[in-house]
Amino acid sequence: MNRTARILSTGLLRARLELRVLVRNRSILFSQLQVANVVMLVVLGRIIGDDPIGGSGQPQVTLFVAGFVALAVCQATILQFPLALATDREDGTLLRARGIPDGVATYLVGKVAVVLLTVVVNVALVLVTAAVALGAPMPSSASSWLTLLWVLALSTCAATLLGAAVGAMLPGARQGTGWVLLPLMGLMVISGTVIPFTLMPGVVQAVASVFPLRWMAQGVRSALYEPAYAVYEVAGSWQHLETAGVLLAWVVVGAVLAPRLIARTTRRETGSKLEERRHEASRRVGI
Amino acid sequence: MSATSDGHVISVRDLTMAYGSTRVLEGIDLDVEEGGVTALLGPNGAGKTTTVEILEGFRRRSGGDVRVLGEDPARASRAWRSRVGIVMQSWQDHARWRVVELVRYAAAHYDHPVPAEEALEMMGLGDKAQATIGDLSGGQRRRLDVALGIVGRPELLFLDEPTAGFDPAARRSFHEVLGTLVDSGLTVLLTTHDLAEAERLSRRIVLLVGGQLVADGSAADLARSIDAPTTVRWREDGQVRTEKTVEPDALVHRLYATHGSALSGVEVRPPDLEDAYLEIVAREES
Repeated sequence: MNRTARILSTGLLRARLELRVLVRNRSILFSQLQVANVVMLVVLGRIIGDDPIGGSGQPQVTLFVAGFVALAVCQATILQFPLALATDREDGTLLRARGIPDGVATYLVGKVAVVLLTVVVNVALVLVTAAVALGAPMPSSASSWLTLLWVLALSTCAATLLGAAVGAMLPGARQGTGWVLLPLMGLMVISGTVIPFTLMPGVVQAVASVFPLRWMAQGVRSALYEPAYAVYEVAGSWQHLETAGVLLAWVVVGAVLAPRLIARTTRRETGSKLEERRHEASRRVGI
Repeated sequence: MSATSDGHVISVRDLTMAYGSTRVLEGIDLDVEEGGVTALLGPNGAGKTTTVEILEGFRRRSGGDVRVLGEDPARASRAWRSRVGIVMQSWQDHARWRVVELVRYAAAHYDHPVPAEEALEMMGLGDKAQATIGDLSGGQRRRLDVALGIVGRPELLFLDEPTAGFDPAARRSFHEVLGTLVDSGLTVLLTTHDLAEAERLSRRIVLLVGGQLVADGSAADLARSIDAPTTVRWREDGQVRTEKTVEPDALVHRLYATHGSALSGVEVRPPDLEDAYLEIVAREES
């Protein structure tokens, strides 16, 4: 077995073992499955899902579903993933990996495999729950399924790389709320995931358009809505070319940043640093 | 087993380390031969951890030449990494994993690992294979760390405070296991504050104070080097008496001559590693 194949297979062994941990610990499994989001989606859908958006006849529930699909991707990759990386750094998992031949590589393969599975499961959870509980539409044709597939693949790719970069920069898991959760919630508000993007002022639209979430949500909408609804989008079309372009640009940014940041963080990880952090932590809780 | 061409597993020349303007290591020279336990001792802040982290390839040095198993650890290859085992302090990772799962995962990185169950058996954790790591006691956790350190059949093992938190029985059995590993050709670099442990396990002790190597030799060499008095203790008319002397033989002769059969419980305790350590550290730090 060559080195790459071995890293992949050992990384997948790690992923299987991490999944076993999830299965054994229902509270973590529960947070890994974004159940709270799905509940929120169902509540929102039940209350105002039937209202058409701005007299367009465009059902609001589809907008929510598309928004929550995009959010499911972002939450798994840009929130849960960096927090997991920071936690692993704090408890010495990364340092342990550093002392094992190709340990950091198999660790990352394992982590990413779990993240990808989390994305798939949570996206499916949103789509199926929405269809069952809210009668929301699934993609209606083979080409819509294909659209959903490439939008999600590109989104997941970009967001996972970004998540790795964020995780490498995150000082610790406790800083996750300020560093990641709040900005993500802000983006969620301005990116057309729950509030129609067309209602945002021009400046806000311009800001949101720099980030991937807006394009993810719009891309998913293009797979869920009937083609005719494209006229209600900001540009009057689904903008597939722009969507692919922006997401690809983020893939490139992530691919450049993530490996360097991860390598830098890994290099700085030593036993004495771990010890220092532990002392600080025990001082904080007043031991 | 393949050390460097000159037979040294570790070879350090003029190693220096500075964090900003703070100099931590002031030019260390150290050669460690293949096999056996070498203990690196010193007070906190002496530079032990920094030295070990440089040798482990975890930290970049400021200057000097370092060879570990023939390679520069700062540019360690995968092959090099698989010949080195590391047991550090303060690991709390993988708390929710099962013991055997983590050992099996670690073992999967090596070409000829010790089977996971066997590694656990060696460390007396055979019955804990299915336990959740976070539920282990401190001593069990440390033994797991050691099992993970040796699962890849390393040629060189870095051990940092391996028996901190062990009860005496666990410490004794750990020393026996380590003895077996060393008999099979393993080279160990031990850092510890437990001087009795260092004296018992190591054939060589290296003392680091203020970023410099200040003593190097067997525990007995070090003890002899300090000219400390020997403590003689005896019982005389039911009373325990002690006296410190640099000529213990003469004192004992005199005692027998004076008290004859009234004398009992004579103990002669020459200066040990602890005496030597305290003496040398105090001298160097003043």
